[in-house]
Amino acid sequence: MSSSQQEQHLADATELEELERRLTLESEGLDLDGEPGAHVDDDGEGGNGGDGELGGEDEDDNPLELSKPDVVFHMEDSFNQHDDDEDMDDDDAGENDAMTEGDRGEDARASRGNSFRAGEGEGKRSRAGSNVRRAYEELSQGRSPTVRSHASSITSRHDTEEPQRTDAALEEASWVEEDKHIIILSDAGKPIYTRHGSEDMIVTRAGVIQALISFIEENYRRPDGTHGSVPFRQQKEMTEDERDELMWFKAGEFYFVFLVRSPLYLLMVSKTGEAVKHLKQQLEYVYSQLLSITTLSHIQRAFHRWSNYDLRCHLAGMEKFTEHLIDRLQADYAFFLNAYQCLPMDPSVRDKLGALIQQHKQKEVVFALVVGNGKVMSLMRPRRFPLKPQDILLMLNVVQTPTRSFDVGETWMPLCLPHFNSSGFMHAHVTYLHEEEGIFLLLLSNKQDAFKTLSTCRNEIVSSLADSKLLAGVLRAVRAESFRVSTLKIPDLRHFVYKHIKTNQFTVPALEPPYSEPDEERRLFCLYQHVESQMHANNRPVKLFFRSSLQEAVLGWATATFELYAVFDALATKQTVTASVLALLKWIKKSETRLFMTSPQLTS
Amino acid sequence: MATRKKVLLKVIILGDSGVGKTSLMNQYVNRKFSNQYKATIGADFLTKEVTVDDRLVTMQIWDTAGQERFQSLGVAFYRGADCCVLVFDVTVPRSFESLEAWRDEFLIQASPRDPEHFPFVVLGNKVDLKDNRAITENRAKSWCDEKGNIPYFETSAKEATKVETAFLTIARAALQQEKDEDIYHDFKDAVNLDDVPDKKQDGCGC
Ligand SMILES: Nc1nc2c(ncn2[C@@H]2O[C@H](COP(=O)(O)OP(=O)(O)OP(=O)(O)O)[C@@H](O)[C@H]2O)c(=O)[nH]1
Ligand SMILES: [Mg+2]
Repeated sequence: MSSSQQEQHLADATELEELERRLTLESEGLDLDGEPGAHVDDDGEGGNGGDGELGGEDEDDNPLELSKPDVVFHMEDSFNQHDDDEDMDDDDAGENDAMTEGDRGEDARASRGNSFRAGEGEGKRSRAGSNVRRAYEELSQGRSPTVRSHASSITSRHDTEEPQRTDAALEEASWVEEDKHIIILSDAGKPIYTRHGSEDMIVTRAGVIQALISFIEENYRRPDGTHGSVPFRQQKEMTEDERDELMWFKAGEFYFVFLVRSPLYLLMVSKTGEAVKHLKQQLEYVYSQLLSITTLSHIQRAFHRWSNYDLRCHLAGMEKFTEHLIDRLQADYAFFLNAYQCLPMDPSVRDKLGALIQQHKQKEVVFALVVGNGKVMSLMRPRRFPLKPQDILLMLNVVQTPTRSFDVGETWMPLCLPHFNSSGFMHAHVTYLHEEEGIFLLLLSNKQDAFKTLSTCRNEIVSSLADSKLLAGVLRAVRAESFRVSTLKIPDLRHFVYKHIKTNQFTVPALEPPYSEPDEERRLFCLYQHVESQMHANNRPVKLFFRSSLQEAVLGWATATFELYAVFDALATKQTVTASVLALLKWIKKSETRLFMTSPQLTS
Repeated sequence: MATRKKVLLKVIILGDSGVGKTSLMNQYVNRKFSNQYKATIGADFLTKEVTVDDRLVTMQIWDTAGQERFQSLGVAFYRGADCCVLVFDVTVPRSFESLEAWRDEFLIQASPRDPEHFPFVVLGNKVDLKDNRAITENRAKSWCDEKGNIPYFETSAKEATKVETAFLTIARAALQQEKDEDIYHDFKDAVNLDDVPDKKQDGCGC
């Protein structure tokens, strides 16, 4: 989209107010809890100056800045190689010492100098502890970088050095190009996971990352009065949130976002254009995923016992789940909405399915989940243990990850649900409820030795389902195509995402042209994500967001009961938009029990 | 993860300013030496892959600043070290006398699980400067013996004397710190449902 193409804002404040007034007034008749007096997006646009293109390389129009950053980090070229050997080579340049015997006349290093400088934002942190402050001053005056890191891939064997250097350089070049890195380190600076490239590539950077984080950590006093590792007397109080706020910076087109979950450090380096808030949220999901295969208590215990503990061995074999989750982060609305999808189905079928499972349930079964088309068909849980959407998404990830292991019959795997209980494992019995249609049944027990019981329980459910009329209804639901907006006949409405707040579920229609093209699909995803971040911005949340561009008009609307994101024809008038939104809400209301699982199957 | 797991060892080098910590590391990793002195500010990191007794290991070497005013990163640096290298300059008695303090500092900051048996290696550096020698090999050795038989090497970063050997010993010592992880991990951490707090009231419908 060229910059000459101007967005058409439907958005001077009065117009927007009017839109909102209409929506609010008229939706009251629908009993949707639309909140009267909702806040108006008063700067009127919430939009990008100039071209309104989103995603990709787009500059976020919310300047993604901290409300009041105390410390600003600038990382200079840290993740690229331009300053190659800077500090080492000026040694070399300024001297005429002969190389020692060990030197081979050829510099076989593939080393890169990584340095960072910390600059002071508002000068507010100058009361921080003496060491850090001194280093800080040195750094902010731009004298010398505090931390350097050099990589070297020299091995003790000389015969392989030459080709290795080339490979390393190539690998490095393509590594730097990746648009989203996710790196997990221990707080000792040891690598645990990297999404791209080999661990070797992060080993050398680990020190820099650790230095950056510990710099903030050590200047942070937790609400409980404990503090970072160095007890600075004059330390400024910083809450956990404030600390987390500091944990990102931008360098060039990359955002660096840190998440400290001691004893682990997680880092995202992204040029996807997603908001910091979303990158953080994605790191939280990666962290949850990691906990789901290790448990928090194991991690804490192990690192408490051995601070040099190597967590990698526990992740072996589980990478595919982590990788699948990471790939989905940027393609599944579930993650930025913190909500999961239900498979639309006749509510009486859903109820009967739930009842059937409950009927065969043994006391060992704590949770039961039926998943069809990657969406939840039925959920059974104890009354006193509601499940967070994050945990449900982890369970969905297990069955959505392409793996052959479910084909062989039964899988019995430990799975920690960190939001339910991060200190221990649940054990998941995973099987097909119906193999041809890919319907999964997950039975979770807290008992490690419950495999046999759960297996029997599952077999009973399967045979009892096969004998009942219910099966036809279940299969119909799985075979049905996703609903299409075009069949709703709502003027100018092209696509929408609706989050049902009470149940943490969302619904979304099938993609239709133009959004069925991969590029457009991606653009739409970014657009919704962007609207979401605008509406939930910490410093100025808005309840209603509307903007139109040459491609489409987009609306975001948050009330106490739902969040709606919808795109309309670019030329839609606000009258049409208002009418269409109301028509859509009416339809959703009517279909609510089909689209959402409004009451899970409860056990005592 | 794209590659198979190699053992990763975190090695930190401590000692007074100017004893040659950075020079030793540079000699070992890059096979270079410079007479020019540039104080390390904060810390430097280098990595080197080595094969130790048929095991491929990556050494992550953390070279810290000897000058106190440049030590800005605190406990983070010591945490999780697999081996600690203490360096002194054989021509500077003070630097030898400081070893004790560096060792204590490390043990306090890193608080390793088993401080008695934590692997240290001591390097007496600059042995090429024979005429200025102030600390004899015997004196250094007896200190090391006293501290629980710490391996001792007489090195010269300038002439690459004993540098390889010393680092190989360092890698070996660090490897000892690696434990058999599998013994530790089991899936016995079961959820006790009675311990799970009631979450009914937190407003999550499903
Ligand atoms: N003759 C001789 N000089 C050495 C040797 N090792 C280091 N030097 C010199 O000693 C000086 C200090 O060396 P560095 O390696 O920078 O010392 P450092 O311990 O890293 O010092 P800080 O970074 O301040 O802690 C430099 O001028 C080196 O050239 C050696 O084995 N022999
Ligand atoms: Mg140095």
